[in-house]
Amino acid sequence: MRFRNNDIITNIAITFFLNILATALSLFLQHLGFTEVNFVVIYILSVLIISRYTKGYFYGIAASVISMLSFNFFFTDPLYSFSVDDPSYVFTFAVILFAAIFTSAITSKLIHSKDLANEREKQSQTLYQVTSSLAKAGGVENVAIVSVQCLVDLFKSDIIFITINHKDNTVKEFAPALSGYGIISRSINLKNVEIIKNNHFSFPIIVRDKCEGYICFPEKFKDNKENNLFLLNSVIMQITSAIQREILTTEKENAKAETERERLRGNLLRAISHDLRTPLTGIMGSAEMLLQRLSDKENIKLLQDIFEESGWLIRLVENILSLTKIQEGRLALTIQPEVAEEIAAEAVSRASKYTSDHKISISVPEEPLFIPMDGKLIIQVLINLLDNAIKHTISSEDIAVSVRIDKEKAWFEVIDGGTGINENDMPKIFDIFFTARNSHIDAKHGIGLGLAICKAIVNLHGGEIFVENNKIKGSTFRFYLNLKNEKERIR
Amino acid sequence: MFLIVEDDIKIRKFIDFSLKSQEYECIEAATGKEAINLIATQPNLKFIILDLGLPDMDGLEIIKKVREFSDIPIIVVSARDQDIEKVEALDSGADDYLTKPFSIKELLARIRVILRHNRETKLEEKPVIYKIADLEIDIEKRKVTIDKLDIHFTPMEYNILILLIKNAGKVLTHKYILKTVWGNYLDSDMQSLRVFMANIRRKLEKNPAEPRYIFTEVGIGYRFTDE
Repeated sequence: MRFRNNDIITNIAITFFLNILATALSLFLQHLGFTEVNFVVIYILSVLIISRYTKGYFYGIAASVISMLSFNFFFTDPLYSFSVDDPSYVFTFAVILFAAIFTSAITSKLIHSKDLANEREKQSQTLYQVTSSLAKAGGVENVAIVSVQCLVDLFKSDIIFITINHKDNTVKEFAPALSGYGIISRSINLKNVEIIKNNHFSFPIIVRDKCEGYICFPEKFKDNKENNLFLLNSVIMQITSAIQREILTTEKENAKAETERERLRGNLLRAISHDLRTPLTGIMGSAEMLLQRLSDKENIKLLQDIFEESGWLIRLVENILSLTKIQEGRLALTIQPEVAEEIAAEAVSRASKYTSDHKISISVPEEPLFIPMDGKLIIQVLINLLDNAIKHTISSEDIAVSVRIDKEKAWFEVIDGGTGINENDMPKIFDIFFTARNSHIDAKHGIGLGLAICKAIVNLHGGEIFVENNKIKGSTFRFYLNLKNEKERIR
Repeated sequence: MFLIVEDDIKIRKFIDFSLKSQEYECIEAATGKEAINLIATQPNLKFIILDLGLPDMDGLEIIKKVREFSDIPIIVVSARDQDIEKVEALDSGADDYLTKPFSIKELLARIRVILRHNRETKLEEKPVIYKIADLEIDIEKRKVTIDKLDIHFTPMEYNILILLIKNAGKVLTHKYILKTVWGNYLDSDMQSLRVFMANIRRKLEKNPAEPRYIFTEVGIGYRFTDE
């Protein structure tokens, strides 16, 4: 406030000084015998100079009035009084006043525009500097450090920059060092963010509806009218876009690395699976052969286990091979019309090998139903669903497979009378490596590949797969394949 | 004497073992070359079990070579993802196929079917009446009955049915059926064959999805039951 008072005093001083100077000059010229017109010009000149060197219209107008009065006082009859003898002087006064006011107005306007232009120039230069230093910063942390530096330089204020990493839930605080040189960063607790945010004049940094951090100024920052909020907003916008850029870059890099890892894992799985297949066939065959030669019940039980387990492993290996192929998009569908009953029958006859007890019934439409599909893959889907049903159903309960048409779609259903599916597990059941926790079967028999493959294969066909619990007991897996327009999908 | 051509020693051994347990005599070959040598030098070979995935040679080559001079039965063994090769093997003259992992019971059953089939074709007199379970077909009268009930088949359906029943227990490829019944093979006829099969099945089976007589080998062909 003192600053502003000084300003006023200076302006008043300038106004009076120049007015007195103009009067003195005029008196000197009068003494030399100059005419009155010159004095008028000198007064107008003084008003012009006053307008130039003071701020605002007020001093210019005041100077105009004072000039007019001075002229009246010193140079018109009667001298040294404000009264006028010759009425024609009134006209002169009016001209002086009008000319003075007009000049002062134009001058102050010019000065104002110049100031404005200067201000803008400075802003855009600042913004340019901010933008270019932000562009050079790589990584969210560096962006934060550069931002703090820029903001401190710009606003000469204390600043705290908080970054929130949503991936690992870490929060970091960046602030100028107390020494005044450099920026220091430290990790803080997520809980403290709220406190800091509320105690400061803060701006959130929002990237795709997520708050990635805050820029916090001291509370008093808001009250200081000297601070250019427009500039501040522009700078914050620049910082936000820099942060967004960094986040997107990181995400892109992560995704790339993830794909690479996935590919590596796929290759590894495939190599292992391939090498497992042959020895497993040998184990299974030898076990089966021995089964026919042994009579001791205990040994038969042991062999039966070896036989079944190796069979299960072979199925797993087949599933892994299919899945890696599907995931890499290497699995080319050979789509041709297949008869529903043939597919269902083949799937059931193969799945029946894994159970001797379950009764699996099949129902298909009365008329032969041709469905465009890759027969072998859909059989695999059905086998996996049946395998799953057998695993979760006690042998006295039935399992049913049905195929029906509904509005250009062929629906396949595998209905079991088993334990049903926990509602919490429903959304994840088709995920890779998902295994129901409450499964009453030993955990190793549910690596959770089967259903993931089902989903992948059905989706590849342009169909969808669903699961729901039955009203009484057990659950139903159903999927559909389109009966028409399949040709468009074949690439 | 049986010849087992298989590069994996464990699988070869257990096939050998299970065949010997049925009192079939066996010799083994681990490579295509060895197999060709044995086939050329062993006069009393009566059966070949052939793995399609051999390290030095395509199994198809062996089938073609053997078929140039002999109709000795060949059963092809292959991995699940070799469907096209299986069909080619059957069309080149293999008698049947098995997919790894296969059960020994199945292998032995297939061998028995082929041996019996070969014996029957060697007989002077062909059977006039085929009887399988409730199904009875009188070739001379062109009459098909199930449970003594007459069933009407169109001439085309009847021809297909007879072809299947004469080869009961053997898998017949789509191509083979088309060639034999239609007289030529066109890809476009495949769909009509499927329609015929679906219709035949509906006349024969109580539930077409739980077949008693005609089994589909998806992607390969059809097999009529032999029991």
